[in-house]
Amino acid sequence: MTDQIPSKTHQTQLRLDYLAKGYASFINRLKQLFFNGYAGLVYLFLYAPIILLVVYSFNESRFPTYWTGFTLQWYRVLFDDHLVGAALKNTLIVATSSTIISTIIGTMIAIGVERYRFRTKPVVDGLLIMPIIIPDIAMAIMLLVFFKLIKMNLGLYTIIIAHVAFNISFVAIIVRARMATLGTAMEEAASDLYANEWQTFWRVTFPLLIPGILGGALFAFTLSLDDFVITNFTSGPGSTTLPVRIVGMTRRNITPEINALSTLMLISAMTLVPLSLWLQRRAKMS
Amino acid sequence: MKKILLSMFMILIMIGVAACGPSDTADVGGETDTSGGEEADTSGGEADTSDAKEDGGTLYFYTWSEYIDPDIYAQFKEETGITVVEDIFGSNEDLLAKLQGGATGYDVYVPSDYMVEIMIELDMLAELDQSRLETIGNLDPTFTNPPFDPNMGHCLPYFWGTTGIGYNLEDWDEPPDSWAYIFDPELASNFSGQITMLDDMREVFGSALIYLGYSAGTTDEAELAEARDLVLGIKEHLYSFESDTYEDLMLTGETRMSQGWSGDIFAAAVEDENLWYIIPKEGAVMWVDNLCISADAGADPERLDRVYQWLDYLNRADIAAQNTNWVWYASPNAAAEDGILEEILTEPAIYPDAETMERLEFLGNVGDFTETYSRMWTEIKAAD
Repeated sequence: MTDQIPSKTHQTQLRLDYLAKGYASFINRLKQLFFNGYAGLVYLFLYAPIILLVVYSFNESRFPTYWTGFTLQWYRVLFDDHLVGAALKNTLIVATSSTIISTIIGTMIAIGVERYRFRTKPVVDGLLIMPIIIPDIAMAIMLLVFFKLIKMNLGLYTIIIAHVAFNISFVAIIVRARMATLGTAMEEAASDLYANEWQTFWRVTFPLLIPGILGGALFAFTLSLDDFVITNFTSGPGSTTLPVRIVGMTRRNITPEINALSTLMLISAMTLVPLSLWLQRRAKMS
Repeated sequence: MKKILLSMFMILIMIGVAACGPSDTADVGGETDTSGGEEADTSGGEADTSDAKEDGGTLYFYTWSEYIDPDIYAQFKEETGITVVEDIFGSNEDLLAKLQGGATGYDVYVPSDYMVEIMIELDMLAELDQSRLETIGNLDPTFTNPPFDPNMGHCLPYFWGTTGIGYNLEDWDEPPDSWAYIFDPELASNFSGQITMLDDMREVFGSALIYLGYSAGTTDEAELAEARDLVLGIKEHLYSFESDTYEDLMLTGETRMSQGWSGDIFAAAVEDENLWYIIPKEGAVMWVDNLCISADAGADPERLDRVYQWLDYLNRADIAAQNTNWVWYASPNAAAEDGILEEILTEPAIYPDAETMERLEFLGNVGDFTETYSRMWTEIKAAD
């Protein structure tokens, strides 16, 4: 008896264990299914509009909500559209110049704020975040009034200045974050080995910062590429950029030409990211 | 390491050169574009860079998107040597905000009627010297003395149209020739949830006021309140207030009827021949977009000279006809009618007959009474 009872309980215990295990694995599988499904839904939510946009760029009908057949004509219309071409050119001029300027200034600010102590540092810190917090529209109007005040004619130059104004902050914050993770050990080692400050910067600090700088520059470039509100207010005669033109086009009629244009922008954005990753990897390897 | 620095430096320089080179076209002073100019100009003038004429300067045309046959830019350049650069705005209010912010440098704007009145009050427009336009006689007399700009003191009419009802031929034996089909709750309930109205305060009140027998630009609070209650009464039957995609909704069949602009519905009718447009028998709001000269161009004889050449060119019978055939709006240019496509001319919804014309009305500027419109509009939008 005394032998059997434990064995019996042991058996029940085993069975219970088995059941519990089965139940647990069932629950686990259910959980997994649920989370997979949930993740799938989230991705669908994120990407379905983009997929639709791309699909409808091949739509024969000139209305984007009504499928009539496959065509490439909207891409042909797009390439023949000199107005879009001119807007694209303006956009690229603004994006590259504002990226270069804001990356240089932003990096210098980041290094200054991160490596040196000075009395007005909290003020500089606060001012740095300002352009990020201020609503676009407020910044746009401020800039417009400012340009008016200093009697500067609106045009590509004013757009570039405006974009530099908001890009500096983003670049500075990204570079600064990179710098904070680096620490000062390397620079101290360099100066122990009699490198002067200039050498230390160019041979040690700057190469280490490159991934951060490139990240910041890429971020600035994309922000500049798709900014509408600030650009709309600071643009002048002859300086319509792509976002401004696209918004204008949608006010009249949304044709698949806009889908085709967005598709091409999407593809170029998707090639920019691997490019920057590749650049960063090369920087790291050396 | 050096290699990478060097290559980065090279890239920076290359980008820098690419960026700085053509940016001299950004000069707003109106200097002539040189090297990068022919690429940067939006006139599509690449085809004729072999230049028949010497460089005639640049004219900045601030207009709506797709509101001119783009070939006209190239033709104009060939004829006069003047490069037209097109910039675009999305709405009359956008245009006003931009100019109130102090934007200058544009030569010609294309505002709608009521905005012309506002801009004249704000001294944003230069006066029009009609003696400098050889083609002034081409205009239909209906448009030469509009209420928003007496005797065309400032602007030249460019295109015009109406705000009526877009409908689906499948639903009707007889076309819905009255605003009652939208504003009478009983009739509207036939298409409950399938009707859209424009998301535009003045247009919605304009149509409602006309249905009630009042002026579309009333400044009587009681009349306006009546119009508000009328719209509130049928709001439950509306799909939404929608200005940008309402014709798409009709194409997909999501909606069956809409208050809409003539040009939009005709664009949709090209896709689906069952869609059509009617000017209701009570009358309708009529709008005119105009070519207006900016105040700062008016102060500069050289710019003004280019402006008058441009206005004269657009108002030429053959050019106005070509433009109409591209845009599909009605042209106020009577002389152009010989060149306009038959299908546009004979379409009563684009070119209404004389009797219908009499029932059309401009929205007109209501001055400070706009605030009352805004308040009542908010009450409509906020109601359940």
